[in-house]
Amino acid sequence: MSLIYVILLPLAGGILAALIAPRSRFLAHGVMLLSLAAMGVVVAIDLGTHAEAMAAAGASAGALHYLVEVSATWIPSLGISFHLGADGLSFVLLGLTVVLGLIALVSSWRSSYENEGFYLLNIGLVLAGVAGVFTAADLILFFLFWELMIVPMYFLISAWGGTGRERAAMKFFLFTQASGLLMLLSMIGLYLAHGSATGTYTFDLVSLSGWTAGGAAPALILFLGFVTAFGVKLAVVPAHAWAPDAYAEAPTAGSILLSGLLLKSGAYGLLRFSITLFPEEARRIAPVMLVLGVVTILYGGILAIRQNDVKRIIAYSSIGHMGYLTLGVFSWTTLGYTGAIVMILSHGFTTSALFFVAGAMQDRLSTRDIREMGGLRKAAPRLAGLGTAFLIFALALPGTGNFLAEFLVIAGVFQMNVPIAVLAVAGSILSVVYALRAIHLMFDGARTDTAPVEELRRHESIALAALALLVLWIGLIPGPIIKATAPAAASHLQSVLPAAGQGGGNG
Amino acid sequence: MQTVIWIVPILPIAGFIILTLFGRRSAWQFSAVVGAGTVGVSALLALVAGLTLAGVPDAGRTVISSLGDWVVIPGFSVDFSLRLDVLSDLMAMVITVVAFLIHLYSTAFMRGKGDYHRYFAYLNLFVGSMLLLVLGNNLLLLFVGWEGVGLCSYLLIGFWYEDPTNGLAANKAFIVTRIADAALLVGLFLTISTFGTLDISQVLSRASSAGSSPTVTAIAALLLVGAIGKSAQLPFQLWLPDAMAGPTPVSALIHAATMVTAGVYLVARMHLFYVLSPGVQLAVAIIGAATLLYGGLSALTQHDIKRVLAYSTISQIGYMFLGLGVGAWSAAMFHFMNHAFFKALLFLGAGVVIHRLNGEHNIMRMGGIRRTDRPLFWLFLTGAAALTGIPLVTSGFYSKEAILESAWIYPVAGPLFWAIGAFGVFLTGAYIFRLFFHVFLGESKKDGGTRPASFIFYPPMILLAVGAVLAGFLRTPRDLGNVQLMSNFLNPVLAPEQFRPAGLSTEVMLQIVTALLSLLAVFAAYLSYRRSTKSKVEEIEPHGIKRFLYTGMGADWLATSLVVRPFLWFAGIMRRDWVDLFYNGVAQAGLLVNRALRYTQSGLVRWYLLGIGIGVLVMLGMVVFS
Repeated sequence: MSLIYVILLPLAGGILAALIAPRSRFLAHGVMLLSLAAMGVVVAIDLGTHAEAMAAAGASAGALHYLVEVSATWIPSLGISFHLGADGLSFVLLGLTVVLGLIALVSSWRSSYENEGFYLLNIGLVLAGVAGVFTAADLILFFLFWELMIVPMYFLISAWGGTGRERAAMKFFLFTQASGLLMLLSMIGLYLAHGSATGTYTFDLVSLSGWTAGGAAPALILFLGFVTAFGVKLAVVPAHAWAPDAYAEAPTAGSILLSGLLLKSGAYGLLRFSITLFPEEARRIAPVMLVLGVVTILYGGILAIRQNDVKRIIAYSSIGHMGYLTLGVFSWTTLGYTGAIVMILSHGFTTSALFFVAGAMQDRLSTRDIREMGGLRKAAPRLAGLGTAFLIFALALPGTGNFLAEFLVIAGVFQMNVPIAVLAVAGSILSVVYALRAIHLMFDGARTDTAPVEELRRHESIALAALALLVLWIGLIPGPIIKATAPAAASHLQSVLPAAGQGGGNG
Repeated sequence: MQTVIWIVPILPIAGFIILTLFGRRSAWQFSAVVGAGTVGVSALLALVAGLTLAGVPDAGRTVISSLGDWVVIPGFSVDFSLRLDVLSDLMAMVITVVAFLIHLYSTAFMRGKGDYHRYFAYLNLFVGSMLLLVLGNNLLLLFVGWEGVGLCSYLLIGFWYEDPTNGLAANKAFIVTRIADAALLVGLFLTISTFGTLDISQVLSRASSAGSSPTVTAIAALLLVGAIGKSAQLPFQLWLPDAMAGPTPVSALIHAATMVTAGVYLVARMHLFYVLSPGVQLAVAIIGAATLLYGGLSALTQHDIKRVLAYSTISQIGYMFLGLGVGAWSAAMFHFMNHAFFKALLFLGAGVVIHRLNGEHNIMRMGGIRRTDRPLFWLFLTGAAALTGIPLVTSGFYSKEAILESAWIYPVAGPLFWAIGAFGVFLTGAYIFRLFFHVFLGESKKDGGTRPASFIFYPPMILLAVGAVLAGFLRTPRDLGNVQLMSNFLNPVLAPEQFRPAGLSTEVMLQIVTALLSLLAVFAAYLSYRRSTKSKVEEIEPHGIKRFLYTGMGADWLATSLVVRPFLWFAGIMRRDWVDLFYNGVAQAGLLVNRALRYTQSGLVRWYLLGIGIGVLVMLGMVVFS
């Protein structure tokens, strides 16, 4: 039952907060905070009780191993069931959801928005949708949660965004809806193909995962439907075009949820759905995806270098990092796969911290143009110090999770395709250039404007410091996360490479 | 018990954390005590470890201490383990001792310059990272330290952030070294895919049993690129002269004594790979020889006291690379140690000069310090003499002799390498004594006299001066006592020089030549100094060949026009996100089509009738003519 709570808690929190908000802003935020904390407790308890099972599951890798499952009949005539399931990977991602939900909440604490109840409701809905995506074990259910994330996010951008919000929200909606529709078509196609071949018509992930569509052309088309949806969500070049606008125009909390969680739902979908359902096709298309991944790294990096909008710098940086994620997933090595999972977490923490800092600066300086900043190290040393720290983390300083992720990903790719790995390393130089440029323009120099700049408040500093610790923790003590996600990694890789087993290279 | 080794790097890092958290709110004494104290204790521990190692037999001179696993994945694992052996401990001793002295000096030097706690926090983080670099038992941990010191270098070059040029110099240093580090990273990936591990001892033993191969050569070459980036060797020397924007003690510690020699350490640590790939080893020697000439020549015409020393550092590390290239592993490490002492001494001395002259950097506007600060005169003279390698009494003489002696017998163009090194000795004497005479002799050219110096400046410099003289006697040539303490100490890790020694009489001859060259250089520098003071024309902007050397042989100009400008131009073109523009184009086209189609729905019946009529005609025509 715990999985239902994980989805219901943010939902209930959002609804309750929406009802309370007109009376007390403080109480509404408090309720939301409490519901997320409760969600965190549930996830932590689940992780704790299943720690041993996770370790044991690693040894007997095969198909999916859900540690916790909820199953109920829903529309049996169509083979649709209410089936939730979570393994170590899901739990780790649910943990990320809790942390970033809290961070998003704290980021908007200081500035009061219009119609705050609806704002909080949307945040609750997005989080519930994300939690559902990370646990759904039925294709139709997955699609519903997928939509549940997108619609409130559209509202968050279009109602509380910056000056170009409507255009950005529309672009985001069109891209994700169009690709989501492709995914739905693919789901139905798979349902029909499986039904006509085996006689059982079902949308259940576990039942479908053992069945391969036969390696024929239709299977490839169905697979591409899934990959397109997830690739758009992940903002892989050339499907990234919605992302810079959406990130830049969304309110801070929206940018945090978008880059930290919605993006990662694309990664999760790729791992859990595309690969589990179509191992053969995934392997065939891997070379293309590796090229797209490295193009994404280089494209994002180059574009970030000459941007002047701080949120656009972070946006392109984020796009570039998703290139590493793509490489890791499609390297078909344990190294690359583990790197991708570490990347999901550390990129989630780092980028949301960067958007947090960008939001804090926008609140204080009323601009996002880094050429109009400067001198903040003098004016607000804590803000500048933490901003510098996270930009340095983003350029993959060794010791951080970001470095570990890139290192493992490239080490994995290196065993498969040396030129791509070398290009990916070259891409890491680009992130140094844009990060240092941003630090220099934002924080160095002397301020021309003599008006004082408000320093980070205590709750803001605490939130950022917590994120910094998390990034370092993943980088230095990745053991627990690797252990928790190893069964998922092993089963995914085994489905793709049945002969090789672990594919971790020869030694 | 072995985990005690971990205290050495962790103490300074703990100092960094404490200062970051509490430094801002505390008194300056707190920062000084935490900053210098942690490094001081680390230095004591490293020294104790060194004495212990010296006392045990060769086989026992390696201690490995693991704190546990870091990453464990099927097919790949690394752990947190440190490796204390004679090579890493020599580095650790030099680093911590020099760092402690510089911390001590800084407690006075940085007073009243703002952000006192931030300075010591960064400096502590630097020492901790540098110790991780040299003590790390696997290449990944080494790389953590490697990038960590790069980060601290960046933070400290841009320490005085209010002047934007400092920030640009910091960016330059980080970016240039990071480009080289990309090659190093590829080297690590190649190591993983070839040997399946990053553990240094395992990599070395597997490489030695596998023997020479193109892969080993490639790894050696890739690591070398990383090494010359960090050590500011050609063509990556670009960043070091600009790095002088940082506070002077930082230049002494990071950009002279320790961090820039990390490349030397890396090659020495992995020297087996270079033995297995003679071609790459020859490249090491060529890069070293070319760089020592480049640095020496460029230093000749600089006006900025710190830039002279920066080019000097580039040149001296060139000697170390030459030593590594000709297989004189322990001689290169010997020169590293001596250089750390005398170059730190020179930088700290330059710091006092700049302090006394209220921030003046131009040696042409200095003079007469001999009268105002007699102790400084003698200390700086010691440093300059050691750098030049004044025969018999300075450490620089012995370590350069050790390198040049091996260069002479190197089978490929040995005498040529020797000749370049010997000419470098002349250049070294010429540029450093040019600086020395301009700064210390003559009359003060400043109005208003000099600022008083703190007494805390001097004890660290005195100790460094002692090191700059005495360290030389740890290893002397065969005709001058044949002391082999240094090479014996390093013996378990760094094999003795590979090649058959030249005859004793040849060695004596070579020593006499370089000794004469060093003395001649001092004399030449004095003559040139006399002439320049007589002519009384203050040279503001050098021209001709001098200008060429002044700009570091146009290296910056070359890099800017060949790499930086084209790259920024490209990034500028890409900035508009052409893929996005494509989608916008699609949207625009959709709107256009929409507008065109809208005209057909004008609501005017006669247009519709006309359309129907034309359609009927066309259909009729098709029926009739088909």
